Amino acid sequence: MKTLLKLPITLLSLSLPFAVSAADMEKQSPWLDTFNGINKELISPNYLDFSQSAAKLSRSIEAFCQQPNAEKLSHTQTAFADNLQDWQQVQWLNFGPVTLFMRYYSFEYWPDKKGLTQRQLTSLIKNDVDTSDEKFWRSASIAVRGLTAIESLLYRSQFDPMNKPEYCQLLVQVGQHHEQSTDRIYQEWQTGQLADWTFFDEDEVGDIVSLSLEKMIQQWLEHMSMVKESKIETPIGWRGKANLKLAEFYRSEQSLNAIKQNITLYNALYHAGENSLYQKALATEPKLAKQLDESFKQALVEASKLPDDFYSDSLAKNTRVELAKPVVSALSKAQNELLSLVTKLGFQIGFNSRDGD
Amino acid sequence: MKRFVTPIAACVAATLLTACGSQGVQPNKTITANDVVINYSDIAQAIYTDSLTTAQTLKVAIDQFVANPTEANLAKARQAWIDSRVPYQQSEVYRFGNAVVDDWEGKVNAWPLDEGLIDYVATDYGTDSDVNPLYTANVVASTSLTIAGKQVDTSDITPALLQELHEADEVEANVATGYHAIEFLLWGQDLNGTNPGAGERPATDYDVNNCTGGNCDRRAAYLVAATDLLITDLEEMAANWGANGEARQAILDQGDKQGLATILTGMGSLAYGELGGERTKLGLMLHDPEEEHDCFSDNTHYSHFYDAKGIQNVYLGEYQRVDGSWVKGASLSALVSAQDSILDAEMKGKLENTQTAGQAMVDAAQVGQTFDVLIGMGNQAGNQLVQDFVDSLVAETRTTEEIIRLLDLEDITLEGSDSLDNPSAVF
Repeated sequence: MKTLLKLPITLLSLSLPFAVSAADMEKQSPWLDTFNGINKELISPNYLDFSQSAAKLSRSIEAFCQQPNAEKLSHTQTAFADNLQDWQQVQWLNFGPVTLFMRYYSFEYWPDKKGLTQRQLTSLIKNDVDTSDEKFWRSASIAVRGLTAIESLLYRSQFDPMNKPEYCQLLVQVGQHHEQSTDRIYQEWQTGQLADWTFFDEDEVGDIVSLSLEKMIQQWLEHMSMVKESKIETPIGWRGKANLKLAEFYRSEQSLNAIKQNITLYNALYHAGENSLYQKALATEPKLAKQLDESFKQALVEASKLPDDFYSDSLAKNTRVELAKPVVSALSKAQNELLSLVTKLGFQIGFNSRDGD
Repeated sequence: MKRFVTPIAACVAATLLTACGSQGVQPNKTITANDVVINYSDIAQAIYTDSLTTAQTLKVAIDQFVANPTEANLAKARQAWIDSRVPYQQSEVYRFGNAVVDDWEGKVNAWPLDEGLIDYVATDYGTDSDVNPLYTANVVASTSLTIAGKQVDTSDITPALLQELHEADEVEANVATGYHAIEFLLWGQDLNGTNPGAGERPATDYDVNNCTGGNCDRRAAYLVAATDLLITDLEEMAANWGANGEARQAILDQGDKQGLATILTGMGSLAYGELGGERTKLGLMLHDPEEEHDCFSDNTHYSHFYDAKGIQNVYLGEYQRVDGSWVKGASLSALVSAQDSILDAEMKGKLENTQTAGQAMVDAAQVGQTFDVLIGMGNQAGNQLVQDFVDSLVAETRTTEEIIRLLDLEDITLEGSDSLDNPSAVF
């Protein structure tokens, strides 16, 4: 586990742009190719996709609110779903520019057990808050930003943007801020340097690429816990009372798609780049490397078997739990194997902050 | 949410750590781990006894208020509630590690709550919740409720009924009992948002001859029943830490190392995940008064201060009782100092820093900047004051982890928090 006592890396030679590798780092880090593969094949293009679909969503919202009608609302909801799917491709990564200004938490405030998004959005209108002021967004609550707020405004009947121009205008502002945030993250990811985001503990030694990759793998493992527990088990009542409204993006009915996107990404992460994690593992841990490859594929197969109405009321709780068991089991197996593999490869995975939720 | 301090985790930065070896728990000349655990239990007994006596004082004030519902008597009852929080909050460090306390705590200090379960609420509160079917059940106004498909007779508001309603329908926010239910009944909703001001429930809400809010008799019955129940629950916990009490026996039976692990689990979990994360940092991220622990009374500054004080008490092995006397004995501090006096001094310094940061919030509250005001959007100075408190709690947790390593205690699980587990986040 890393402590929070951090020292910025002072050696400029250890600074590595996200997009371009420094020549000296190639000699220093055994994980540079792997890191670059994940960055070039997944993180950078996925952030670009996320920002571009956010821009499309924002344009769509603007068009809808200029002349609200059912067709434009439907078009906007489709743009929202597209952007949400792109979010699922970067949701695993709480590292780098996304950590600034609470952006990561702002993209999705979930689960919102106390209905804060609904209440705070209502309060903004009631109190006539000027959301067009950039100052507002610099310190706005995470509950009124990003995809959660947009979904709420688009799908909650009480907001009804088709007939309530004040909420449509708020939707425009949230959409524009969301567009700016995603664009900034993409730009900052291109121009930033690892040294801006990765810090060594006091007296800690090592190379910044390996340490950064270690952080990413940690988050990958934690994201797997999130998918299992928060996205699947909790809403279907695996250990308690079922409440399908706790499913991720249940109002827009994107809960199941999100899970499939996440699992697909895990496999892509494993294989990203010419010298992927999989390739590196094959060299020293061939059996486990292949086993994990199979496990990721199996998890996707099992998730694909879930029926489209998995998160609907049409299924009984026990039925849903039985359907989910193979997916959860496959994910657990893959997660354990990934943990075991990266530990054998020399990464120190301290704790999983999502375990035990 | 958990943080696992496993042997691997503890040694992850192996080159910088000096205590991943097998030093173990070594007694110094006068203090043993067992001495520390015994004193820890003695302090628990004193704290819970003080919590009980202040709750009994609260009950006297509430009885007087209900019999004669004037604003003056309401003010006295409110002050008695605030006073009762002083010892209780110092007991919270006994959560997380002691199963007897953990299993019981939800009855007396569950938070946050959907207050619409209990009594009338303002329209801004809303009418429905994704999670809670009883969001606006309003027990005070209802003689019958349907809970999870079953009809429940609520015509007589008794401690037994409140126990039944607590966490009804498996929803944690259905808090029917404990300090915060009583707090709501004394203050009502704080409708000032992040502006100054607490709940302003009028005394006439209890005046059957001049009733506001309706059902004054039932509201009074609820307030009395909830306070009676609080006393019963605190009697139970005070006894649990008595000479042959279950909680005392449980920690003594654990043995030296596990006993110390229990103590440190409580310290770290309260400082980091619960107080630093869920009760404080999340408030900064959401700028929402609902994120305030004592949200009806605006007493959060003191609740946080005394929570942190409780952590310091346990480390120093001392507690000042409500009558001014002290309970003092063998301390974790002395045990640590025997092995690493520098680390002990560091921990004392970190704990003092937290007290200073907590005191700054108390001072701010005295001039109208209560916690809900401090976390308000755009209140940069206030936000920073709260952030300083969070930072000090995080810093003391880091030192707590070093102590865990020094004492070679394994498999300790500290409560974590989403809002803190991303240390790069910048406000």
